[in-house]
Amino acid sequence: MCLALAFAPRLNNLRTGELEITMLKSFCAAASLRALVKSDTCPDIVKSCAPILEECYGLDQRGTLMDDIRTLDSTLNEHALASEVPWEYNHKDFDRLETAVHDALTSFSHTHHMDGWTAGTHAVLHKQYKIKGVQFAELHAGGKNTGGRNSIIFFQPEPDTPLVPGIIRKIFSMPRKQGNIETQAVFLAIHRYKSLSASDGVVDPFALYESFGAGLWSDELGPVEIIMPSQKICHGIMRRWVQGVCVLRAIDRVRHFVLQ
Amino acid sequence: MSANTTTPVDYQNQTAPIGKAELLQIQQDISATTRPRWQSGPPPKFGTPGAGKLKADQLRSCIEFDIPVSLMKLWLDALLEGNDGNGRQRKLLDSTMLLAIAVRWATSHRTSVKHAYEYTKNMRAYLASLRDLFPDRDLGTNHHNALFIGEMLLRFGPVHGWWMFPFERVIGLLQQVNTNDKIGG
Repeated sequence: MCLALAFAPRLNNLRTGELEITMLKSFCAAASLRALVKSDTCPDIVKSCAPILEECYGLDQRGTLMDDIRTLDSTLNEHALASEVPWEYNHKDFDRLETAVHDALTSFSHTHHMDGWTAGTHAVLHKQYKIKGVQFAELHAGGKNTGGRNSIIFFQPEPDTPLVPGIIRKIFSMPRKQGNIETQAVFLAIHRYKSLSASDGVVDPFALYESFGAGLWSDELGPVEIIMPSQKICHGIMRRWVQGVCVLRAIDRVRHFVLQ
Repeated sequence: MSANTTTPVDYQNQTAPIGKAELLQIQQDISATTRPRWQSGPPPKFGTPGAGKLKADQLRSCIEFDIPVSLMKLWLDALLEGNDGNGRQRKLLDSTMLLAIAVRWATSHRTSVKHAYEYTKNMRAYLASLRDLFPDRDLGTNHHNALFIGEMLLRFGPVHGWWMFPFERVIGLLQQVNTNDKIGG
């Protein structure tokens, strides 16, 4: 429909619709096929085509045509696959973690049953890192991460809990023994935005529109916490509301709901 | 004389609740918003001819965050004080929120009966609010089409597999190609 409008005034040798058909076959079909091969109900013979599709449509960058094509499989846990292969690393690339981050990591390893894994003091630091096709960056990554645009996140602290906002302080990798191989364990050191308290004297007007997904939060940050890419993480959008208060909303790809 | 001057003012109040000051505030809000790099936000001169024609991505950003949040901030005090133009601002805000919520349910990467139900419920309420707010305006074809999206979510899955965003993107790419007006040559 949109294409018809766009090309209406142009010469088409009286063969209307061919461009539309080409695009439909090339792009929408690719998007749907990728979703099909990743689904549980997909026949094995079709699943065997997955490597070919990956080769053809392997790149992903938000805001591009390739992202449109890959959009439906981007919610899959691609990172889980990456963390199952051996990680080749060089100790020269390791840097010392900040004390606060290391302390938080130690606490995290105790509470998250990491099979005897102990938190080291050194790690490979990432200014930016891609999780499930989405680029995240540490707050002071510099470059194109102006104002921490890729650092504001919403994440799920525990399964079946609401997403909460935070900001990424550091992203780093450490080796982790999985059976006979050493894999890459990626961690994000984050600070949560604190909830508003009654003493703030600010009423959240978005509470009336729960499904809209926005809410008011204090712009004060909590202590360092550690999260992993296997948790639900998405970008957030933020705007200052009044002094000391900001409005934040998750840009989540999946609209979750809790069954009553 | 008074009748001639009064009528246009009432019409203005009904159809253009956002004046220059409000528009300026919305523009400042847009500039002060921190969003991920991949998201196309509205242009800084939003609402003026200088902003040009908004792209589909920008329109989506507007309704998903920028406009509802700005309207809420602009009108919150008036709403709390009951000084909101005979409830019209409240209705406009509710209407905008209904559209934003409907879009959110419709654009989820997963869909279900619940998603379809919530989308349809909010879209119906939004269209009803339009009829209430602008009784002299007819609904358009797109409004009619929008009522079928709930059913299509159930039949065809998440909207991303069949919506027009890839087409819009390709149109953008094709429009940048220099053809010297010789299409197909």
